Amino acid sequence: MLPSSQTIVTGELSNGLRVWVYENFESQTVLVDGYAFGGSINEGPEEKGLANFLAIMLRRGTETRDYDALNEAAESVGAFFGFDAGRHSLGFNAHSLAEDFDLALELMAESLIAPAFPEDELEKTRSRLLTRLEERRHSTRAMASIAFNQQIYPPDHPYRMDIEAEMAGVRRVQRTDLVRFYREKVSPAGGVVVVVGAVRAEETIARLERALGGWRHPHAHPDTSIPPRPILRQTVTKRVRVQGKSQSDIVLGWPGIARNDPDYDAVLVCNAILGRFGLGGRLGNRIREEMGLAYYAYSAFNANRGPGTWRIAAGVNPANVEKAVDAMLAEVARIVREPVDDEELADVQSYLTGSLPLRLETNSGIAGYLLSMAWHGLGMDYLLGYESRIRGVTKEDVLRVARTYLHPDRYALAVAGPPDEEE
Amino acid sequence: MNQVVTKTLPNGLTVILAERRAAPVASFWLWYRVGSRNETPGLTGLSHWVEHMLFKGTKTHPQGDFDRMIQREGGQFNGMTWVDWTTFYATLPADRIGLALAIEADRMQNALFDPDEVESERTVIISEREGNENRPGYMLREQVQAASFLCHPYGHMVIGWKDDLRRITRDDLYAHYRAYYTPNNAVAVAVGDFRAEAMAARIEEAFGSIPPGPEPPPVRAVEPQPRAERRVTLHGPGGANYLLIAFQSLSAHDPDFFPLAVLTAVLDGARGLPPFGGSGLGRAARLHRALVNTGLALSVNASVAATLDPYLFALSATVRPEQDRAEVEQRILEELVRLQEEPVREDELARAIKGTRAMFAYGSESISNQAMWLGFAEMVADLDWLASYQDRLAAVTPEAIQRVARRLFQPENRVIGWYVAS
Repeated sequence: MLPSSQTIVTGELSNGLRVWVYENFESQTVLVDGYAFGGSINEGPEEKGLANFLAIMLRRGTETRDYDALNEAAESVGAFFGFDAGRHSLGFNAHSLAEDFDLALELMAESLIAPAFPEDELEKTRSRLLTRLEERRHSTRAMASIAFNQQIYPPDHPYRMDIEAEMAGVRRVQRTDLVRFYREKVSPAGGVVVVVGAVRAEETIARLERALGGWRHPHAHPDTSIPPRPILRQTVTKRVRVQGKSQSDIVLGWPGIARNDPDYDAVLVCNAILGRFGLGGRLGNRIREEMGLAYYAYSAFNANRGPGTWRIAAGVNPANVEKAVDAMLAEVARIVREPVDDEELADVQSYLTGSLPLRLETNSGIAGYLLSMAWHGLGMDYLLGYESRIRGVTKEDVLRVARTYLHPDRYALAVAGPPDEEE
Repeated sequence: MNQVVTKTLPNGLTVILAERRAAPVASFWLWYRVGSRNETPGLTGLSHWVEHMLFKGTKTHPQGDFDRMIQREGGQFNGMTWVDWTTFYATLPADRIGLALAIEADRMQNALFDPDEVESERTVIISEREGNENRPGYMLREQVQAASFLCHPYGHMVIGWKDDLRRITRDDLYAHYRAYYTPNNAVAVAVGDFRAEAMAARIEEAFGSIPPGPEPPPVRAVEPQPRAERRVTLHGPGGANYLLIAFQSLSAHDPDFFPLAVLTAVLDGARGLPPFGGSGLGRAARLHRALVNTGLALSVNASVAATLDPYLFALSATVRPEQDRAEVEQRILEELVRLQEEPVREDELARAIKGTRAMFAYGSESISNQAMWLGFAEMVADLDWLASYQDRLAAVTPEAIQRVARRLFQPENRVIGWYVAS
């Protein structure tokens, strides 16, 4: 049975955090997964990387327990808890056996309510982050993806990634910056927390209130605006040279949609046909299966509160970059030119709807859906309507969204790999 | 998990079944006792390539059909090749699981190995390998693994050496397929929402008429007792330095495997069934405290794998380029000496056992995982090994851990490898 308003129990904590609980006594575990407002869009131009730095530092010690003590407590029962920065959110989570739920929740809540941001951990984190960023500069996949992002989002757009600015930002971070950003830019009010697993719902809401209700940032004013949709007026291309590599990674794409865009379902179907169904949709079939050019070739879109991207990616031998890009563009030209086959559409609709039970098999699978539904305002009965919405997408819808978002003659292309032989 | 039922068909196919009725889904896995362990010089990467070819069509189903057939029913479908085994699986709505049986029975006998498809897959696999080569960690692992084995086929990576991938022929692949992908060399596992008796009958119907093949050739190579510590150093572009220390390890059926699994948890946190049980714990464990908390390394990991022959116990670390490498190496080796000299504490043992229980519980929410564990256990040991796994970990004593540490952590038993960023 799909989670719905019949089975999801909701509440609201006194700090304004909205709660969704879904009981699953088939499992022995409990997962807590939540978002507060916050995230990287709140960073100033000199503060790139601060939200991520903060998320790491929240896990590095509280006023009563240092990093070691937190780890000791969690791992003595095989539990996890942690924090991560999104673009609009500060994510928090805990995962444990049901018998240890109270402890996992307590450790997570204590870290959120009374973080210590110890100086020595700050320096270690800084050093680790700088090296991780340096590693990314040597990763063709990461560099292709960053270069693509920069082609799509202009310099002042909050979704723009910038590895140099992030390194500079990370070098600059002081403890006071963490404290200020946390108090002023992270707010539980209006955020959501989802609990899935072998726990009773009503009791869980009471436990959450005890653990998290006191987490308040009364002076916080996180940016809750929706970033604008970038405009791509012409084809832009960027090549990033990464020395000593065997393969080039390619990302080609366009500005995409936000999560609550009415086109979401049609884009989901269109993307599955283009680059997902089977072994990477039409793209995988052409680039991998027929041409033998790449081990991976697919398309994907990400949809946040603001517009994400819709992109095609593949990894190929440096000598085959042009051939692969041509093949990508040919498939894009085809999907914007002619309606998809009836059979293709039916296959993809069966795939997207039929695979839902498998995607909801585990507590983390269920929690992922519930968190997205709660955060993006999709409603508790989103999954009940899923099948009919996907089945309701027509060939005309697919053609329309393809023509709206995908353009074979106007795209952003990024390639990261070894220098060409002639260079 | 409910009771596990096993039987063997007259053609030698082993069948393992477990009913699990919580959700209307079922998972079917077909395992073959073949992997890179069964490959010889010049023909490395054959097993992985054969796995790819089994997605390329049969007499009745052209290339791409299988993926579409499974996915249009909402199923998951994939294959994996490792050192000791190759497996294919599908997880589907329970009333459609017959599709998985039909596909596996078909490709056990009728895979085409069309020469054009072989050629197009050759470049796909070379591309897969080149993608791996882009990662320093892969390059280091390949060198350390090669240096770790003088003659055993565990010395090459599952994907194979690039020159072999350029030269292997369609006939090499087909011969490998005919030699190993037979019912008598396979294990079928089904877990999910079905009645075991009915599922046994369906499996017999799908596979029972497939004739057995000849007994697959045994692996003859035995790795000699290591006599010399080896070192490998690679230089290449990179944002960090990478360390990999590999020790000749123990096979899954060695009684010391269980103390080794607990020892791994003491060093780096509990995990489920190695190497597939998931990981992520370890921040309270010894290596993280000694190397990450002190700033010597950005990350550090220990890995143990359950294998047919003694494979590798590996310790890896990512290190800032400015950091003195000898100091990092020394600190890790000190932790190993400590395991030899002092008994581990009771609380560390308790954490290892409880953590393992939690990791099994997280993993068992997926019936695909449950089926994978059963098949994997049958490949490298047996079902009792899996059923008793947690109890046998719980029975491990501090003395046993010390004994295993002394047995394994000898200088001549190790390869120390560095990838040094230039």
